[in-house]
Amino acid sequence: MTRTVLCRQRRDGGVMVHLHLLSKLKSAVVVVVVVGCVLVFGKLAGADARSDLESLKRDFERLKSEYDSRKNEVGKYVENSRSLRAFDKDEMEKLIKAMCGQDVERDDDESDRVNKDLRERAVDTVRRKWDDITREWDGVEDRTERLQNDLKSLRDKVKYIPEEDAVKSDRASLLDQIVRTIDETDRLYAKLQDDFRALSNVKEGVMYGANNPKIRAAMEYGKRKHVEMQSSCHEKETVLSSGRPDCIYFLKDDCKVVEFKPSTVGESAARSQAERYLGDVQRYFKEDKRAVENCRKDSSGLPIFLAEGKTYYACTP
Amino acid sequence: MTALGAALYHDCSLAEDTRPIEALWDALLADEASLQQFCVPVAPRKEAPSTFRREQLLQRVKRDELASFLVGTPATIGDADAVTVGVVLQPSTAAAQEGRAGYRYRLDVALGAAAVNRRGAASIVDALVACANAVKPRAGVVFPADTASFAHALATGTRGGLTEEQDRRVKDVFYAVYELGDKIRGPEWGTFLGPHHVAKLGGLDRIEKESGCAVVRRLAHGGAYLQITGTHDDPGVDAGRTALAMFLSPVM
Repeated sequence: MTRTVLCRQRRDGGVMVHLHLLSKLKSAVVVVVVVGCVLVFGKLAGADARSDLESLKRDFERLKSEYDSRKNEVGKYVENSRSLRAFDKDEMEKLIKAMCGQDVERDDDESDRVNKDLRERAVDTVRRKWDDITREWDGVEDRTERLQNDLKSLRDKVKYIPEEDAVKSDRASLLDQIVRTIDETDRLYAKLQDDFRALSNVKEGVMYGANNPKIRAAMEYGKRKHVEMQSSCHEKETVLSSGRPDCIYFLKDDCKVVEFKPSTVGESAARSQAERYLGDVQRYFKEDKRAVENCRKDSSGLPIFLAEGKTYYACTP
Repeated sequence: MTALGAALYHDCSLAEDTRPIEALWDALLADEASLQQFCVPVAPRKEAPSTFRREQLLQRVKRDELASFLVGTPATIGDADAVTVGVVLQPSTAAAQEGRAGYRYRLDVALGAAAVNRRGAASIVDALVACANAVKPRAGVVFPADTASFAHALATGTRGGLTEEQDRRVKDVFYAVYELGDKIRGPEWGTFLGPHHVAKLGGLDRIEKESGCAVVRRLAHGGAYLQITGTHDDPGVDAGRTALAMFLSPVM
Protein backbone atom coordinates (compact mmCIF):
# COMPACT_ATOMS: atom_id res chain seq x y z
CA MET A 1 0.00 0.00 0.00
CA THR A 2 2.76 2.47 1.05
CA ARG A 3 4.78 1.57 -2.03
CA THR A 4 1.83 2.27 -4.31
CA VAL A 5 1.32 5.80 -2.87
CA LEU A 6 5.03 6.70 -3.29
CA CYS A 7 4.93 5.57 -6.85
CA ARG A 8 1.94 7.74 -7.55
CA GLN A 9 3.75 10.85 -6.15
CA ARG A 10 6.80 10.14 -8.27
CA ARG A 11 4.64 9.74 -11.34
CA ASP A 12 2.77 13.05 -10.73
CA GLY A 13 6.03 15.00 -10.26
CA GLY A 14 7.49 13.56 -13.44
CA VAL A 15 4.50 14.50 -15.56
CA MET A 16 4.59 18.13 -14.34
CA VAL A 17 8.33 18.52 -15.34
CA HIS A 18 7.77 17.08 -18.77
CA LEU A 19 4.70 19.19 -19.53
CA HIS A 20 6.64 22.36 -18.69
CA LEU A 21 9.65 21.46 -20.88
CA LEU A 22 7.62 20.09 -23.75
CA SER A 23 5.46 23.13 -24.24
CA LYS A 24 7.88 24.17 -26.93
CA LEU A 25 8.88 20.79 -28.20
CA LYS A 26 7.40 18.78 -30.91
CA SER A 27 4.45 16.53 -30.08
CA ALA A 28 6.42 13.46 -31.13
CA VAL A 29 8.96 14.03 -28.40
CA VAL A 30 6.15 14.58 -25.92
CA VAL A 31 4.56 11.32 -26.87
CA VAL A 32 7.87 9.49 -26.49
CA VAL A 33 8.51 10.96 -23.04
CA VAL A 34 4.96 10.40 -21.84
CA VAL A 35 4.94 6.85 -23.06
CA GLY A 36 8.31 6.26 -21.42
CA CYS A 37 7.08 7.67 -18.17
CA VAL A 38 3.95 5.62 -18.26
CA LEU A 39 6.05 2.56 -18.95
CA VAL A 40 8.34 3.34 -16.00
CA PHE A 41 5.38 3.98 -13.74
CA GLY A 42 3.62 0.82 -14.87
CA LYS A 43 6.73 -1.16 -14.23
CA LEU A 44 7.15 0.29 -10.75
CA ALA A 45 3.48 -0.16 -9.81
CA GLY A 46 3.42 -3.76 -11.13
CA ALA A 47 6.56 -4.57 -9.17
CA ASP A 48 4.97 -3.40 -5.88
CA ALA A 49 1.74 -5.36 -6.44
CA ARG A 50 3.76 -8.44 -7.32
CA SER A 51 5.81 -8.01 -4.20
CA ASP A 52 2.62 -7.78 -2.10
CA LEU A 53 1.23 -10.79 -3.87
CA GLU A 54 4.41 -12.76 -3.25
CA SER A 55 4.22 -11.93 0.41
CA LEU A 56 0.60 -13.05 0.57
CA LYS A 57 1.51 -16.19 -1.34
CA ARG A 58 4.03 -16.99 1.37
CA ASP A 59 1.34 -16.37 3.98
CA PHE A 60 -0.89 -18.73 2.09
CA GLU A 61 1.80 -21.42 1.91
CA ARG A 62 2.11 -21.21 5.68
CA LEU A 63 -1.67 -21.46 6.15
CA LYS A 64 -1.86 -24.26 3.61
CA SER A 65 0.71 -26.19 5.59
CA GLU A 66 -1.30 -25.45 8.73
CA TYR A 67 -4.39 -26.74 6.96
CA ASP A 68 -2.55 -30.00 6.26
CA SER A 69 -1.66 -30.26 9.94
CA ARG A 70 -5.28 -29.57 10.96
CA LYS A 71 -6.47 -32.16 8.49
CA ASN A 72 -4.18 -34.76 10.05
CA GLU A 73 -5.20 -33.67 13.52
CA VAL A 74 -8.91 -33.94 12.72
CA GLY A 75 -8.26 -37.34 11.14
CA LYS A 76 -6.56 -38.54 14.31
CA TYR A 77 -9.28 -37.07 16.48
CA VAL A 78 -12.02 -38.78 14.48
CA GLU A 79 -10.09 -42.04 14.74
CA ASN A 80 -9.93 -41.61 18.52
CA SER A 81 -13.55 -40.68 18.75
CA ARG A 82 -14.45 -43.71 16.66
CA SER A 83 -12.59 -45.88 19.13
CA LEU A 84 -14.56 -44.26 21.94
CA ARG A 85 -17.75 -44.93 20.05
CA ALA A 86 -16.75 -48.57 19.60
CA PHE A 87 -15.61 -48.69 23.20
CA ASP A 88 -18.84 -47.10 24.26
CA LYS A 89 -20.80 -49.67 22.30
CA ASP A 90 -18.66 -52.47 23.76
CA GLU A 91 -19.21 -51.12 27.26
CA MET A 92 -22.92 -51.03 26.63
CA GLU A 93 -22.88 -54.60 25.33
CA LYS A 94 -20.74 -55.76 28.21
CA LEU A 95 -23.06 -54.05 30.63
CA ILE A 96 -26.19 -55.58 29.15
CA LYS A 97 -24.51 -58.97 28.88
CA ALA A 98 -23.55 -58.83 32.54
CA MET A 99 -27.09 -57.85 33.44
CA CYS A 100 -28.54 -60.58 31.26
CA GLY A 101 -26.18 -63.17 32.71
CA GLN A 102 -27.33 -62.50 36.22
CA ASP A 103 -29.54 -64.89 38.09
CA VAL A 104 -32.28 -62.58 39.20
CA GLU A 105 -34.81 -63.21 41.91
CA ARG A 106 -38.22 -61.77 41.30
CA ASP A 107 -38.02 -59.39 44.26
CA ASP A 108 -34.31 -59.31 44.65
CA ASP A 109 -32.79 -56.09 45.96
CA GLU A 110 -29.38 -57.67 45.50
CA SER A 111 -29.79 -57.99 41.74
CA ASP A 112 -30.95 -54.38 41.56
CA ARG A 113 -27.86 -53.37 43.49
CA VAL A 114 -25.59 -55.42 41.21
CA ASN A 115 -27.25 -53.94 38.12
CA LYS A 116 -26.81 -50.43 39.48
CA ASP A 117 -23.20 -51.16 40.30
CA LEU A 118 -22.54 -52.58 36.83
CA ARG A 119 -24.12 -49.53 35.22
CA GLU A 120 -22.18 -47.09 37.37
CA ARG A 121 -18.92 -48.79 36.57
CA ALA A 122 -19.64 -48.67 32.85
CA VAL A 123 -20.66 -45.02 33.10
CA ASP A 124 -17.49 -44.20 34.99
CA THR A 125 -15.28 -45.89 32.41
CA VAL A 126 -17.03 -44.12 29.54
CA ARG A 127 -16.95 -40.78 31.34
CA ARG A 128 -13.20 -40.91 31.82
CA LYS A 129 -12.61 -41.71 28.16
CA TRP A 130 -15.19 -39.09 27.20
CA ASP A 131 -13.40 -36.39 29.20
CA ASP A 132 -10.13 -37.14 27.40
CA ILE A 133 -11.71 -37.06 23.97
CA THR A 134 -13.63 -33.82 24.60
CA ARG A 135 -10.45 -32.14 25.78
CA GLU A 136 -8.85 -33.20 22.52
CA TRP A 137 -11.89 -31.99 20.58
CA ASP A 138 -11.75 -28.54 22.21
CA GLY A 139 -8.13 -28.08 21.10
CA VAL A 140 -8.68 -29.30 17.56
CA GLU A 141 -11.84 -27.21 17.20
CA ASP A 142 -10.03 -24.03 18.41
CA ARG A 143 -7.15 -24.48 16.02
CA THR A 144 -9.43 -25.23 13.07
CA GLU A 145 -11.57 -22.17 13.77
CA ARG A 146 -8.45 -19.99 13.97
CA LEU A 147 -7.29 -21.35 10.62
CA GLN A 148 -10.68 -20.53 9.09
CA ASN A 149 -10.35 -16.92 10.26
CA ASP A 150 -6.74 -16.58 9.09
CA LEU A 151 -7.64 -17.90 5.65
CA LYS A 152 -10.58 -15.51 5.35
CA SER A 153 -8.40 -12.57 6.34
CA LEU A 154 -5.80 -13.61 3.77
CA ARG A 155 -8.49 -13.85 1.11
CA ASP A 156 -9.54 -10.25 1.88
CA LYS A 157 -5.93 -9.03 1.61
CA VAL A 158 -5.52 -10.65 -1.78
CA LYS A 159 -8.78 -9.11 -2.96
CA TYR A 160 -7.39 -5.70 -2.00
CA ILE A 161 -4.50 -6.03 -4.43
CA PRO A 162 -5.48 -4.13 -7.60
CA GLU A 163 -6.29 -6.30 -10.56
CA GLU A 164 -3.43 -5.05 -12.69
CA ASP A 165 -2.31 -6.90 -15.75
CA ALA A 166 1.07 -7.80 -14.27
CA VAL A 167 -0.44 -9.68 -11.31
CA LYS A 168 -3.93 -10.39 -12.54
CA SER A 169 -3.43 -14.01 -13.33
CA ASP A 170 -1.37 -14.82 -10.21
CA ARG A 171 -3.79 -12.90 -8.03
CA ALA A 172 -6.75 -14.83 -9.41
CA SER A 173 -4.92 -18.11 -8.99
CA LEU A 174 -3.99 -17.35 -5.37
CA LEU A 175 -7.51 -16.21 -4.61
CA ASP A 176 -8.86 -19.41 -6.08
CA GLN A 177 -6.50 -21.54 -3.98
CA ILE A 178 -7.39 -19.64 -0.82
CA VAL A 179 -11.12 -19.96 -1.43
CA ARG A 180 -10.74 -23.68 -2.05
CA THR A 181 -8.75 -24.07 1.16
CA ILE A 182 -11.40 -22.11 3.05
CA ASP A 183 -14.04 -24.50 1.72
CA GLU A 184 -11.97 -27.50 2.76
CA THR A 185 -11.40 -26.04 6.21
CA ASP A 186 -15.11 -25.35 6.56
CA ARG A 187 -15.79 -28.98 5.71
CA LEU A 188 -13.20 -30.06 8.25
CA TYR A 189 -14.87 -27.90 10.88
CA ALA A 190 -18.32 -29.25 10.02
CA LYS A 191 -16.96 -32.79 10.29
CA LEU A 192 -15.69 -32.02 13.76
CA GLN A 193 -19.04 -30.59 14.81
CA ASP A 194 -20.95 -33.56 13.38
CA ASP A 195 -18.66 -36.01 15.09
CA PHE A 196 -19.12 -34.26 18.41
CA ARG A 197 -22.88 -34.36 18.08
CA ALA A 198 -22.82 -38.08 17.19
CA LEU A 199 -20.45 -38.81 20.04
CA SER A 200 -22.63 -36.96 22.52
CA ASN A 201 -25.66 -38.96 21.44
CA VAL A 202 -23.85 -42.28 21.84
CA LYS A 203 -22.41 -41.26 25.17
CA GLU A 204 -25.82 -40.37 26.52
CA GLY A 205 -26.80 -43.99 25.91
CA VAL A 206 -24.47 -45.22 28.62
CA MET A 207 -24.15 -42.14 30.79
CA TYR A 208 -27.86 -42.00 31.29
CA GLY A 209 -28.16 -45.76 31.01
CA ALA A 210 -31.06 -46.22 33.39
CA ASN A 211 -33.21 -44.40 30.86
CA ASN A 212 -31.78 -46.39 28.01
CA PRO A 213 -34.52 -48.80 26.90
CA LYS A 214 -32.00 -51.59 26.19
CA ILE A 215 -30.52 -51.35 29.66
CA ARG A 216 -33.89 -51.05 31.27
CA ALA A 217 -35.06 -54.16 29.39
CA ALA A 218 -31.97 -56.10 30.48
CA MET A 219 -32.52 -55.09 34.08
CA GLU A 220 -36.07 -56.35 34.00
CA TYR A 221 -35.52 -59.41 31.79
CA GLY A 222 -34.34 -61.86 34.46
CA LYS A 223 -37.12 -60.85 36.82
CA ARG A 224 -39.73 -61.26 34.10
CA LYS A 225 -38.37 -64.69 33.11
CA HIS A 226 -38.50 -65.87 36.70
CA VAL A 227 -42.09 -64.69 37.08
CA GLU A 228 -43.05 -66.41 33.81
CA MET A 229 -41.37 -69.68 34.73
CA GLN A 230 -42.81 -69.62 38.22
CA SER A 231 -46.38 -69.37 36.97
CA SER A 232 -46.92 -73.14 37.18
CA CYS A 233 -45.01 -73.72 40.44
CA HIS A 234 -46.87 -75.07 43.45
CA GLU A 235 -44.66 -73.03 45.75
CA LYS A 236 -42.21 -70.29 44.89
CA GLU A 237 -39.57 -68.33 46.76
CA THR A 238 -40.17 -70.27 49.98
CA VAL A 239 -37.94 -68.74 52.62
CA LEU A 240 -35.61 -71.41 54.05
CA SER A 241 -32.41 -71.23 56.05
CA SER A 242 -30.52 -72.32 52.93
CA GLY A 243 -32.12 -69.64 50.72
CA ARG A 244 -35.19 -69.22 48.55
CA PRO A 245 -35.72 -71.96 45.96
CA ASP A 246 -37.31 -70.59 42.80
CA CYS A 247 -39.94 -73.28 42.53
CA ILE A 248 -41.31 -76.40 44.22
CA TYR A 249 -43.63 -79.00 42.67
CA PHE A 250 -45.64 -81.68 44.49
CA LEU A 251 -46.26 -84.03 41.58
CA LYS A 252 -47.19 -87.70 42.05
CA ASP A 253 -43.93 -89.57 42.73
CA ASP A 254 -42.08 -86.62 41.31
CA CYS A 255 -41.70 -83.94 43.96
CA LYS A 256 -38.98 -81.55 42.95
CA VAL A 257 -37.15 -78.36 43.72
CA VAL A 258 -36.43 -76.32 40.61
CA GLU A 259 -33.91 -73.54 40.15
CA PHE A 260 -34.03 -71.20 37.15
CA LYS A 261 -30.87 -69.76 35.67
CA PRO A 262 -30.02 -67.94 32.45
CA SER A 263 -28.45 -70.17 29.80
CA THR A 264 -25.16 -68.33 30.28
CA VAL A 265 -24.99 -69.75 33.81
CA GLY A 266 -25.92 -73.24 32.66
CA GLU A 267 -27.83 -76.28 33.80
CA SER A 268 -25.06 -77.78 35.93
CA ALA A 269 -24.98 -74.65 38.08
CA ALA A 270 -28.78 -74.52 38.26
CA ARG A 271 -28.87 -78.17 39.34
CA SER A 272 -26.22 -77.54 42.00
CA GLN A 273 -28.14 -74.59 43.38
CA ALA A 274 -31.37 -76.62 43.49
CA GLU A 275 -29.59 -79.44 45.30
CA ARG A 276 -28.64 -77.06 48.07
CA TYR A 277 -32.28 -76.73 49.19
CA LEU A 278 -33.21 -80.43 49.31
CA GLY A 279 -32.77 -81.11 53.04
CA ASP A 280 -34.52 -77.90 54.07
CA VAL A 281 -37.43 -78.46 51.66
CA GLN A 282 -37.88 -82.02 52.93
CA ARG A 283 -38.25 -80.81 56.51
CA TYR A 284 -40.24 -77.67 55.71
CA PHE A 285 -42.92 -79.59 53.81
CA LYS A 286 -42.84 -82.87 55.76
CA GLU A 287 -46.40 -82.37 57.02
CA ASP A 288 -47.73 -80.52 54.02
CA LYS A 289 -50.69 -82.44 52.63
CA ARG A 290 -49.39 -82.14 49.07
CA ALA A 291 -46.07 -83.67 50.07
CA VAL A 292 -47.68 -86.35 52.21
CA GLU A 293 -49.97 -87.41 49.39
CA ASN A 294 -47.62 -87.16 46.42
CA CYS A 295 -43.94 -87.45 47.30
CA ARG A 296 -42.03 -90.66 47.79
CA LYS A 297 -40.83 -91.03 51.39
CA ASP A 298 -37.45 -91.91 52.80
CA SER A 299 -36.77 -94.34 55.66
CA SER A 300 -37.68 -91.60 58.18
CA GLY A 301 -40.93 -90.82 56.43
CA LEU A 302 -39.65 -87.53 55.06
CA PRO A 303 -40.83 -86.60 51.57
CA ILE A 304 -38.13 -87.00 48.94
CA PHE A 305 -37.57 -84.11 46.51
CA LEU A 306 -35.33 -84.20 43.49
CA ALA A 307 -33.24 -81.25 42.36
CA GLU A 308 -33.82 -79.83 38.90
CA GLY A 309 -32.07 -77.02 37.04
CA LYS A 310 -33.92 -75.20 34.28
CA THR A 311 -32.36 -72.61 32.05
CA TYR A 312 -33.90 -69.86 29.97
CA TYR A 313 -32.24 -68.06 27.09
CA ALA A 314 -30.34 -65.15 28.51
CA CYS A 315 -31.17 -61.80 26.95
CA THR A 316 -28.50 -60.52 24.60
CA PRO A 317 -27.11 -57.03 24.10
CA MET B 1 -17.20 -90.60 20.78
CA THR B 2 -18.76 -90.86 24.22
CA ALA B 3 -18.92 -88.56 27.20
CA LEU B 4 -17.83 -89.81 30.58
CA GLY B 5 -19.18 -89.23 34.08
CA ALA B 6 -18.11 -90.28 37.55
CA ALA B 7 -19.26 -89.97 41.15
CA LEU B 8 -17.53 -90.82 44.40
CA TYR B 9 -19.55 -91.05 47.62
CA HIS B 10 -17.40 -90.52 50.68
CA ASP B 11 -17.13 -89.19 54.24
CA CYS B 12 -13.87 -87.31 53.91
CA SER B 13 -14.06 -83.61 54.84
CA LEU B 14 -12.41 -81.80 51.96
CA ALA B 15 -12.56 -78.54 53.90
CA GLU B 16 -9.92 -80.02 56.19
CA ASP B 17 -7.74 -81.33 53.39
CA THR B 18 -8.17 -79.86 49.94
CA ARG B 19 -5.36 -81.84 48.29
CA PRO B 20 -7.66 -84.43 46.64
CA ILE B 21 -9.60 -81.63 44.94
CA GLU B 22 -6.43 -79.92 43.79
CA ALA B 23 -5.03 -83.16 42.38
CA LEU B 24 -8.25 -83.73 40.46
CA TRP B 25 -8.17 -80.18 39.08
CA ASP B 26 -4.57 -80.64 38.02
CA ALA B 27 -5.36 -83.89 36.26
CA LEU B 28 -8.60 -82.89 34.56
CA LEU B 29 -8.62 -79.12 34.14
CA ALA B 30 -5.00 -78.07 33.69
CA ASP B 31 -5.27 -77.87 29.90
CA GLU B 32 -8.42 -75.78 29.82
CA ALA B 33 -7.83 -72.21 28.70
CA SER B 34 -10.95 -70.78 30.26
CA LEU B 35 -12.42 -72.04 33.51
CA GLN B 36 -15.26 -70.83 35.67
CA GLN B 37 -16.29 -71.55 39.21
CA PHE B 38 -19.82 -71.67 40.49
CA CYS B 39 -20.16 -71.62 44.25
CA VAL B 40 -23.19 -72.46 46.34
CA PRO B 41 -22.52 -70.71 49.63
CA VAL B 42 -23.68 -71.93 53.02
CA ALA B 43 -25.18 -68.48 53.57
CA PRO B 44 -28.63 -68.16 52.03
CA ARG B 45 -27.65 -66.23 48.95
CA LYS B 46 -26.92 -66.97 45.34
CA GLU B 47 -23.71 -66.28 43.52
CA ALA B 48 -23.06 -65.81 39.84
CA PRO B 49 -20.44 -67.93 38.07
CA SER B 50 -17.07 -66.24 37.99
CA THR B 51 -13.59 -66.83 36.64
CA PHE B 52 -11.87 -69.74 38.38
CA ARG B 53 -9.56 -68.42 41.10
CA ARG B 54 -7.91 -71.45 42.57
CA GLU B 55 -6.42 -70.04 45.75
CA GLN B 56 -9.40 -67.88 46.60
CA LEU B 57 -11.74 -70.83 46.10
CA LEU B 58 -9.58 -73.12 48.25
CA GLN B 59 -9.58 -70.53 51.02
CA ARG B 60 -13.38 -70.39 50.94
CA VAL B 61 -13.50 -74.20 51.08
CA LYS B 62 -11.19 -74.21 54.10
CA ARG B 63 -13.28 -71.54 55.82
CA ASP B 64 -16.37 -73.76 55.42
CA GLU B 65 -18.16 -71.02 53.49
CA LEU B 66 -19.42 -73.29 50.74
CA ALA B 67 -22.07 -75.99 50.62
CA SER B 68 -20.85 -77.08 47.18
CA PHE B 69 -19.05 -75.79 44.14
CA LEU B 70 -18.41 -76.59 40.51
CA VAL B 71 -15.28 -75.81 38.53
CA GLY B 72 -15.31 -76.28 34.80
CA THR B 73 -15.61 -74.88 31.34
CA PRO B 74 -18.10 -72.02 30.88
CA ALA B 75 -21.73 -72.93 30.17
CA THR B 76 -21.45 -71.35 26.75
CA ILE B 77 -18.94 -73.94 25.54
CA GLY B 78 -20.22 -76.85 23.45
CA ASP B 79 -21.23 -80.06 25.24
CA ALA B 80 -18.46 -82.14 23.63
CA ASP B 81 -15.78 -79.89 25.10
CA ALA B 82 -17.44 -79.40 28.48
CA VAL B 83 -15.68 -80.48 31.65
CA THR B 84 -16.98 -80.06 35.21
CA VAL B 85 -15.64 -81.12 38.56
CA GLY B 86 -18.24 -80.79 41.31
CA VAL B 87 -17.69 -81.07 45.02
CA VAL B 88 -20.44 -81.36 47.64
CA LEU B 89 -18.98 -80.13 50.92
CA GLN B 90 -22.13 -80.28 53.01
CA PRO B 91 -24.65 -83.11 52.83
CA SER B 92 -27.61 -81.99 50.74
CA THR B 93 -30.45 -84.43 51.50
CA ALA B 94 -32.02 -85.02 54.88
CA ALA B 95 -30.82 -88.63 54.75
CA ALA B 96 -27.19 -87.57 54.18
CA GLN B 97 -27.45 -84.86 56.83
CA GLU B 98 -28.85 -87.34 59.35
CA GLY B 99 -26.34 -90.07 58.53
CA ARG B 100 -28.85 -92.39 56.88
CA ALA B 101 -27.49 -92.15 53.34
CA GLY B 102 -24.38 -94.21 53.92
CA TYR B 103 -22.18 -91.29 52.91
CA ARG B 104 -22.02 -87.57 53.57
CA TYR B 105 -20.29 -86.03 50.58
CA ARG B 106 -20.05 -86.47 46.85
CA LEU B 107 -17.44 -85.69 44.28
CA ASP B 108 -18.58 -85.70 40.67
CA VAL B 109 -16.96 -85.35 37.28
CA ALA B 110 -18.43 -84.97 33.78
CA LEU B 111 -16.54 -84.67 30.51
CA GLY B 112 -17.87 -84.27 26.99
CA ALA B 113 -16.77 -86.67 24.26
CA ALA B 114 -14.09 -84.42 22.77
CA ALA B 115 -12.73 -83.62 26.23
CA VAL B 116 -12.49 -87.36 26.97
CA ASN B 117 -10.72 -87.97 23.67
CA ARG B 118 -8.17 -85.25 24.35
CA ARG B 119 -7.27 -86.64 27.76
CA GLY B 120 -7.83 -90.34 27.13
CA ALA B 121 -10.26 -92.29 29.33
CA ALA B 122 -7.37 -94.14 31.00
CA SER B 123 -5.81 -90.96 32.37
CA ILE B 124 -9.21 -89.78 33.64
CA VAL B 125 -9.65 -93.09 35.44
CA ASP B 126 -6.13 -92.78 36.86
CA ALA B 127 -7.03 -89.37 38.27
CA LEU B 128 -10.26 -90.72 39.77
CA VAL B 129 -8.51 -93.70 41.33
CA ALA B 130 -5.86 -91.39 42.80
CA CYS B 131 -8.66 -89.25 44.20
CA ALA B 132 -10.40 -92.36 45.55
CA ASN B 133 -7.20 -93.35 47.34
CA ALA B 134 -7.35 -89.99 49.09
CA VAL B 135 -11.07 -89.70 49.91
CA LYS B 136 -11.68 -93.40 50.68
CA PRO B 137 -15.02 -93.73 48.90
CA ARG B 138 -17.80 -95.91 50.24
CA ALA B 139 -19.04 -96.29 46.68
CA GLY B 140 -18.64 -94.76 43.27
CA VAL B 141 -18.99 -95.18 39.54
CA VAL B 142 -17.39 -94.21 36.24
CA PHE B 143 -19.73 -94.48 33.27
CA PRO B 144 -20.10 -93.53 29.62
CA ALA B 145 -22.99 -91.21 28.67
CA ASP B 146 -24.38 -89.64 25.51
CA THR B 147 -23.52 -86.09 26.54
CA ALA B 148 -21.60 -84.24 29.22
CA SER B 149 -24.89 -82.77 30.48
CA PHE B 150 -26.38 -86.24 30.90
CA ALA B 151 -23.12 -87.45 32.49
CA HIS B 152 -23.36 -84.61 35.02
CA ALA B 153 -27.01 -85.42 35.73
CA LEU B 154 -26.24 -89.12 36.23
CA ALA B 155 -23.24 -88.35 38.41
CA THR B 156 -25.16 -85.96 40.66
CA GLY B 157 -28.68 -87.39 40.48
CA THR B 158 -29.92 -83.94 39.52
CA ARG B 159 -32.10 -83.15 36.51
CA GLY B 160 -32.83 -80.55 33.88
CA GLY B 161 -32.35 -80.22 30.15
CA LEU B 162 -32.67 -83.97 29.56
CA THR B 163 -34.79 -86.20 27.37
CA GLU B 164 -37.64 -88.09 29.04
CA GLU B 165 -35.66 -91.31 28.94
CA GLN B 166 -32.58 -89.66 30.39
CA ASP B 167 -34.69 -87.99 33.05
CA ARG B 168 -36.17 -91.37 34.08
CA ARG B 169 -32.68 -92.84 34.43
CA VAL B 170 -31.51 -89.91 36.54
CA LYS B 171 -34.54 -90.27 38.84
CA ASP B 172 -33.73 -93.96 39.29
CA VAL B 173 -30.15 -93.10 40.16
CA PHE B 174 -31.24 -90.45 42.66
CA TYR B 175 -33.63 -92.80 44.47
CA ALA B 176 -30.98 -95.57 44.40
CA VAL B 177 -28.27 -93.46 46.02
CA TYR B 178 -30.57 -91.48 48.33
CA GLU B 179 -30.07 -94.05 51.06
CA LEU B 180 -27.22 -96.07 49.66
CA GLY B 181 -26.30 -97.57 53.01
CA ASP B 182 -23.85 -100.43 52.61
CA LYS B 183 -24.77 -101.04 49.01
CA ILE B 184 -22.78 -100.12 45.94
CA ARG B 185 -23.92 -97.77 43.23
CA GLY B 186 -23.92 -99.58 39.91
CA PRO B 187 -22.41 -101.61 38.59
CA GLU B 188 -21.26 -99.34 35.81
CA TRP B 189 -18.30 -99.48 33.41
CA GLY B 190 -16.14 -98.54 36.37
CA THR B 191 -17.33 -99.36 39.91
CA PHE B 192 -15.74 -98.39 43.22
CA LEU B 193 -16.15 -100.76 46.13
CA GLY B 194 -15.61 -99.89 49.78
CA PRO B 195 -13.58 -102.17 52.07
CA HIS B 196 -16.79 -103.71 53.44
CA HIS B 197 -17.91 -104.59 49.90
CA VAL B 198 -14.57 -106.23 49.17
CA ALA B 199 -14.79 -108.21 52.39
CA LYS B 200 -18.37 -109.25 51.67
CA LEU B 201 -17.39 -110.43 48.20
CA GLY B 202 -14.66 -112.68 49.57
CA GLY B 203 -11.62 -110.46 49.25
CA LEU B 204 -9.70 -108.93 46.42
CA ASP B 205 -8.19 -112.15 45.14
CA ARG B 206 -11.60 -113.60 44.55
CA ILE B 207 -12.76 -110.39 42.89
CA GLU B 208 -9.76 -110.47 40.58
CA LYS B 209 -10.40 -114.06 39.63
CA GLU B 210 -14.15 -114.18 39.41
CA SER B 211 -15.55 -110.73 38.66
CA GLY B 212 -14.71 -111.00 34.95
CA CYS B 213 -13.50 -107.39 34.95
CA ALA B 214 -10.69 -106.30 32.64
CA VAL B 215 -9.27 -104.08 35.36
CA VAL B 216 -9.25 -104.58 39.12
CA ARG B 217 -7.32 -102.04 41.18
CA ARG B 218 -6.76 -102.18 44.89
CA LEU B 219 -7.48 -98.93 46.75
CA ALA B 220 -5.49 -97.63 49.72
CA HIS B 221 -8.36 -97.98 52.20
CA GLY B 222 -8.98 -101.63 51.30
CA GLY B 223 -11.61 -100.96 48.67
CA ALA B 224 -11.26 -101.67 44.97
CA TYR B 225 -11.91 -100.22 41.55
CA LEU B 226 -13.38 -102.62 39.00
CA GLN B 227 -13.59 -101.85 35.30
CA ILE B 228 -15.56 -104.07 32.96
CA THR B 229 -13.55 -103.39 29.77
CA GLY B 230 -10.33 -101.63 28.87
CA THR B 231 -12.13 -98.73 27.18
CA HIS B 232 -15.43 -97.06 28.03
CA ASP B 233 -16.80 -97.29 24.48
CA ASP B 234 -16.15 -101.03 24.13
CA PRO B 235 -19.30 -102.75 22.77
CA GLY B 236 -18.89 -105.41 25.45
CA VAL B 237 -19.72 -103.00 28.29
CA ASP B 238 -23.46 -103.84 28.46
CA ALA B 239 -22.97 -107.60 28.52
CA GLY B 240 -20.13 -107.21 31.01
CA ARG B 241 -22.36 -105.10 33.27
CA THR B 242 -24.99 -107.85 33.42
CA ALA B 243 -22.36 -110.43 34.33
CA LEU B 244 -20.77 -108.12 36.91
CA ALA B 245 -24.16 -107.36 38.45
CA MET B 246 -24.56 -111.07 39.15
CA PHE B 247 -21.14 -111.23 40.75
CA LEU B 248 -21.81 -108.11 42.84
CA SER B 249 -25.36 -109.07 43.84
CA PRO B 250 -24.40 -109.56 47.53
CA VAL B 251 -23.53 -105.87 47.79
CA MET B 252 -26.26 -104.44 45.58
